[in-house]
Amino acid sequence: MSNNPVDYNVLSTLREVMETEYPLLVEVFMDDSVTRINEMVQLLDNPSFSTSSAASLENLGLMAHSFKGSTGNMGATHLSELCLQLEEQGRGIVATDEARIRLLVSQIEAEFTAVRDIFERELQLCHAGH
Amino acid sequence: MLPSTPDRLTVLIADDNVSDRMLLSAIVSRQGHDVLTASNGAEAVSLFERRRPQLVLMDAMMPVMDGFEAARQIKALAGDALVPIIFLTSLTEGEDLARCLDAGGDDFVAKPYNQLVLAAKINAMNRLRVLQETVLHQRDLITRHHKYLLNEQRVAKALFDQIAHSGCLSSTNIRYLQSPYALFNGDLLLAAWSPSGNMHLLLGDFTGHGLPAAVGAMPLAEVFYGMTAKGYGLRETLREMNAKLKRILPVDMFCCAALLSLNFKQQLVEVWNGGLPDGYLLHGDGRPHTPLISSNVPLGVLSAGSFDDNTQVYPFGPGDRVFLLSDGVVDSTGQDGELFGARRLQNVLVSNRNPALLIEEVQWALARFNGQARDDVSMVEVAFTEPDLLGPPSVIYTDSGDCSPLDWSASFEYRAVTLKRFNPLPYLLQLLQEVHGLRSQSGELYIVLSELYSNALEHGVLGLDSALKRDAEGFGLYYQQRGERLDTLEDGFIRIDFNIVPAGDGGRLTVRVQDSGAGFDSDRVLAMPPATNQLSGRGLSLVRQLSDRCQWSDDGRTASVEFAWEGLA
Repeated sequence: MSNNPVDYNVLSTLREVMETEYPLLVEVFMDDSVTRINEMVQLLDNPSFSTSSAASLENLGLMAHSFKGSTGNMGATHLSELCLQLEEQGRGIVATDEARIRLLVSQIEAEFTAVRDIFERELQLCHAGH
Repeated sequence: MLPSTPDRLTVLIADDNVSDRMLLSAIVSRQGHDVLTASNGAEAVSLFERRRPQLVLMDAMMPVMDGFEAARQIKALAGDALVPIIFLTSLTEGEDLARCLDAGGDDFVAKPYNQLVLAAKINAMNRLRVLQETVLHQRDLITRHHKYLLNEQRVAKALFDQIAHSGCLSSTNIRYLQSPYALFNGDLLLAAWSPSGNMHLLLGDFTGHGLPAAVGAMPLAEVFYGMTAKGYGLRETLREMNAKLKRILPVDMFCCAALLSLNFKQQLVEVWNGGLPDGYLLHGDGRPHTPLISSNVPLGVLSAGSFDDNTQVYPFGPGDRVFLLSDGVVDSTGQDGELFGARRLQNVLVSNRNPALLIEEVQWALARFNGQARDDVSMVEVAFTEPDLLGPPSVIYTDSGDCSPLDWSASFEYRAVTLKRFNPLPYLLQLLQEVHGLRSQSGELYIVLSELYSNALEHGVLGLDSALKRDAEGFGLYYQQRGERLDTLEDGFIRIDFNIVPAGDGGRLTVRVQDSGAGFDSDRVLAMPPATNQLSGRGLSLVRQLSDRCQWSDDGRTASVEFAWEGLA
């Protein structure tokens, strides 16, 4: 695995595919990601969250699954990997462990911060380029 | 309509993830397709209904309605058309992938997207879609053609039924079995009364199947009914049918046929069989049946010059029946490939006790033999029936009668070369039909004319001895000699005189028939008791019975008969 939060090969492909819409894609991705992370945090902070509740876990699993897809497409390889581990917890593919879940969510938050820095630089480069 | 094969497809993308949706839209647009987007399954279904995209890229996990349910609904809406659904998935579990397929998914593409893989999958799915469209188009085309063909057959059958039903197949002495669509198996069954009260019957089997086999039936029926109604005999009718079919049918098409003329008054049956399986003359008195073997080439093969119109004549009395069948009967194959054959058929004929059940018994035997009932065989059985001296219902004339000729005479002389091949009776009868007063007696007139003519020809010109016809053996000899002598005939004549005079409101016809023969002792023949008269002198007593007056000249060479009529109402 690369140490870079974002795979630059993927980014160049995205730039090529999206052309002028590339900055828009990046903005949309970041807004969407913030929303998703907030939802995950809120879910865990909610007093009714419990690892023994099937509904809570399924909800978490779906969030992680969806976020895994978009981060993967944007080349945020490590973030996508963390999402997969969280999805596996939520969907009961590995033994559920609440501490592990809470750890994964905080790792996702941290990793996203690193990813966001890179994408913001991308946006600045784009605007500078125009 | 040809299947549309646009390079440019309308692709529906359903994904709840907005950045994924944007990215996929951009990839698909770059490949030259039009894109519709939906953010959940319910939106996707509704967009599909309104815009009918040709291909769907569907995320599995979506809020409101997931991709599985949306796929099921879209497949149901698409009906017979193939709308490929490619699932967009990062699912890795086998069970999840199986759910995609169960819901009607056609393929998967994994996240993160690879442009090349995605393009290849869209193209592959589109090829399948076009193939399905082509298949559906051809299926619809075939269905349309099939309907068209059925309609053509229905019209042809309706048309043909009009022609065939003017015949007398419904007579009580005829039993037959024919599929309602026999015409399209090439089978044909016709029956009609001649003006003299003979019944003519034809069973034909054209080569081929379907409409081509049916078209030949129309002209054949026309000739059969037309010539029978005009009073032509079997031989003239056969020659005309053969010539017509030879002229109009392609070389590989012809008609196997058997033709019968049943003379109930003189108790004779005349038979011609060209190419049909053996028919059978079944005797009421318990004698073994007589096979009616095909000794001729089918109709429509030979040119007029080499066509053989020779017929066989057999006694045909009370209790006798003729049974004819198409080749579907003897050619039926059993499960081991063996043919039903003539022997099995004869066993059925021999063991038959109730004539009314004969055809059913043959069917049962066939069903037992090959394990299933066949609907492409034709069989007909015609029984002797006591003659109705009035003959067939009289023809309805449409003219007023004002032009009826009432005072005239005419003479005809037919000499050897003509006697060999020409039957003058239909023409002569036609002439007499101009006289209104005679029309109601046309049946009787025809019988008397044909009796006198055949007496003049057979006993006068050809010098045949009617005493030969005492028994069945002599009967055959008699007709054999008749054929031979006619073939070698060089001299002789038959003269026919008509004299018509008015009498009161009506009139009187005198017919004189004179021949070149040696003459005969009419008093002796007419005085013979009916018992010794079994097969021979029947004709003369008929003449006496049907005409108003009849007499023979002293030398027995000239017969003279009278028909009188009263004024018409």
